[in-house]
Amino acid sequence: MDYRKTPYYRVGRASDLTGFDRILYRALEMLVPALSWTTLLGAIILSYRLPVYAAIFIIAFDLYWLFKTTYLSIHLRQNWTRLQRHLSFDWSEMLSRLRHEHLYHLVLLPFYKEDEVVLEKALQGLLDTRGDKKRMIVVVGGEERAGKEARERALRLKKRYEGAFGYFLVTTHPSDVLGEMPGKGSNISYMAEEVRKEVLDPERIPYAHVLVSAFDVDTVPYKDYFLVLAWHFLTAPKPFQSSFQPVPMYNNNIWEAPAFSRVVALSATFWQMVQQERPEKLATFSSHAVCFKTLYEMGYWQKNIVSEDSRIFWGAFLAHNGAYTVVPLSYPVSMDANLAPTFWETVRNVYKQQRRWTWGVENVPYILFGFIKNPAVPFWKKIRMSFVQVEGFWSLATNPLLIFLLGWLPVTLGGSAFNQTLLSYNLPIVTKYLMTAAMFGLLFSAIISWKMLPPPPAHVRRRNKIFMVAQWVLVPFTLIFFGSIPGLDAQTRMLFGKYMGFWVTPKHHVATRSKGGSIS
Amino acid sequence: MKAMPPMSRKVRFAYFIFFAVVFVVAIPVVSLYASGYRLGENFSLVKMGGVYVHTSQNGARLSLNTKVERVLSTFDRGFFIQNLKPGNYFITVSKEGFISWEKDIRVKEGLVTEISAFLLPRAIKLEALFEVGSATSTRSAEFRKIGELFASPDRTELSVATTSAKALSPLLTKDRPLVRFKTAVWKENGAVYASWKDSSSELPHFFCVALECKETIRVFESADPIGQVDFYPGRQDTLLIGVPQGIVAVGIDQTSPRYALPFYTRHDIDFRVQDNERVFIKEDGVIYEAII
Repeated sequence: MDYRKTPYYRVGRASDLTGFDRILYRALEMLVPALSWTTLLGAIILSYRLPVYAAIFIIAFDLYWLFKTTYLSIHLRQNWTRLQRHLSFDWSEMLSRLRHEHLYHLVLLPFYKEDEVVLEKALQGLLDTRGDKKRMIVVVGGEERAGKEARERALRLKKRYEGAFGYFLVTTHPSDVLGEMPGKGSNISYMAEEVRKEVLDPERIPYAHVLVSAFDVDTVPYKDYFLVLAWHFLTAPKPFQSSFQPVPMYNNNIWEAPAFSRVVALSATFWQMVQQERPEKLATFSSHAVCFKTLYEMGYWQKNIVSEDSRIFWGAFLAHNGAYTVVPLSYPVSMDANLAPTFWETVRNVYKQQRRWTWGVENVPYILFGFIKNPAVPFWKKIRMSFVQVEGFWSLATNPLLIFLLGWLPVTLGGSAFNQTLLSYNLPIVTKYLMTAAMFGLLFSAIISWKMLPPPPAHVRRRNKIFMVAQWVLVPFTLIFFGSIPGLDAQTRMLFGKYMGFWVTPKHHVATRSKGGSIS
Repeated sequence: MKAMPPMSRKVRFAYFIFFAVVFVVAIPVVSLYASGYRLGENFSLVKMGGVYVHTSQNGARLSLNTKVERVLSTFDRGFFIQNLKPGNYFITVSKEGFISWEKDIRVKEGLVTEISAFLLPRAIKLEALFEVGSATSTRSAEFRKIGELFASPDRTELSVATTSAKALSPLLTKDRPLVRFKTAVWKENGAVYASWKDSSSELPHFFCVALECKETIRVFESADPIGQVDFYPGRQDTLLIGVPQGIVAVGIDQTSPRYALPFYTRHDIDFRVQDNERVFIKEDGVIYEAII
């Protein structure tokens, strides 16, 4: 079965389908949000009606959280070791043992209204990497709806930088294209097609020789990124059935971002690092890479959804009947932590960004529907991946709320009969001990985050370095307000069919902020 | 030199199985422990009970059956003792400078007996404020207000804004009891009664003995006339009761031994409690404030 030829391959929402397919898809869209809300409301009702069972559930849940965080921290520690080793390798020497001179690197840098400084930083970041820049094709892709000034900005940069790279293109994605949702997916698909028409085909560059890195405009790859990518591509068992995932670190402005923004960003990095140790559970996220041949065969990124970064993987997975993987590079790219000119703007932006990321729940119905429609994917693979995806989004939205807020519910709602029991007295004590034990993992996170920090700028005060460790006490707060709540927000919108559009995270250069210095 | 691969699936699976097994074992163990089960002789499961003693006296000592178990620290709001075999226990809460508080309690399996300790200072200091009828008594609004408290028997508080008695001033009768903290208190036939007035909420623990609760309790009785009755400042489970010999502090809680502790021992005195904070004593025409 060639799943790409089915009408399901590019489905973005239930209304793209008809008949029973539409009903089924809609039901699958509602699955995860319904599970999340049932869990939360069920905890409240259970605490009132059957407080003893609710108390035991909460104890079980706290134990689950403790063991899960411990289990995942083992993965984190392993990937940290791997990351450090990969950072220490001489990749040039490693790559020299393989035939690699035929490869090109195509870097896609989509932008909207970002400052020229932000764009220039990205381009300079490319120049600072090792490797032959003459085999690098750089595309800076703007949006027509951003206005003429945006295009002129890109053209100025082209004038300055095109000599440094093999090829330098500036594209402008037309607005109001039928069937497209304005956003990164539609823009980078347009950019890729323009490169194919303007460079690859005229220059007769084989698609199989081009590695595409789909970056954000603030992505700054580490020194050997392109060598690491090439090495993994050349040594992958099935390079044309693989995507390649670096570790996103939000180090560009980590010293300037407020503490809660740093914690949220680092938490995302840690999650990616954990997933890099579990490649069978890994999907592409944010900046990622894939061979152009594969990309072209996939029809590029999906243009009618928000989470194009993970959808490219799931589409490829279904198209290859389950024989498609993500190769973890365990090598970093640096990006911006959320930082706006004012504190409250940063709060708002972090919330909206997290909500957009957790809108990745839109992939769950796509995956489950695809598993139903594509019998060629192995059965146990379907079961395992379905469970991983559903559990992942469910736990993101519910776990922090259950643990940090609902532990006291049976005591409050359980009534005097329950409140006279030893169980009601011990519930907060047991919860406290288990959560304290789980928090020990934060110590490890604090150590790793400290080691991951880039050297501080000269203006950074000594106390900010202490904040870099102390900030981890914010985890319970960030897990709820920048984890659970935006997750529930996104899922509830999905539940009621209020589909989200793409929201561009504003990138601010530090110099454009109204006040200098850090605001931790 | 080779790129380091991810952790092998075998190793990850081994970790997963380990944690899964520990998780499955831990749930019943922790749940049973939290419910009061302990390992008894011959590995049998024994269900224990507990006691919670409310007190906020920093440095107070709790003794169970004369053995000192705990000293209250700054952040504690009470003593929680578990791992108690079901049965009777004699609790003492003591602190230097205070009259020790003692109760016989019954601990039941799987349950926590809740009780509030009351520590009364051994010696109440009095600060003289003014003489009744003197110029000083009317000089300040505060003294006038205090004087008005004593203006009529059984009247506990008057509004400053009006000189006439509020229509709803309590008379400490069953029809017009003193109501504070949802508890009504009145005198009747030589006894003092307390009744819980909020049917929508659960009875507080001091209306219960060995987890059996009553809505109305006879708190105190005396062959001698009973004078003023009010709540001890800051407490909802202890009353101050005027008797011919002075003022006694009496707990509503009927758990034995019931206490009637001497608050201030003098004949022919009267007292009032203002704003649930201050106690004023009238003795020989002079108004004093009791410094608690």
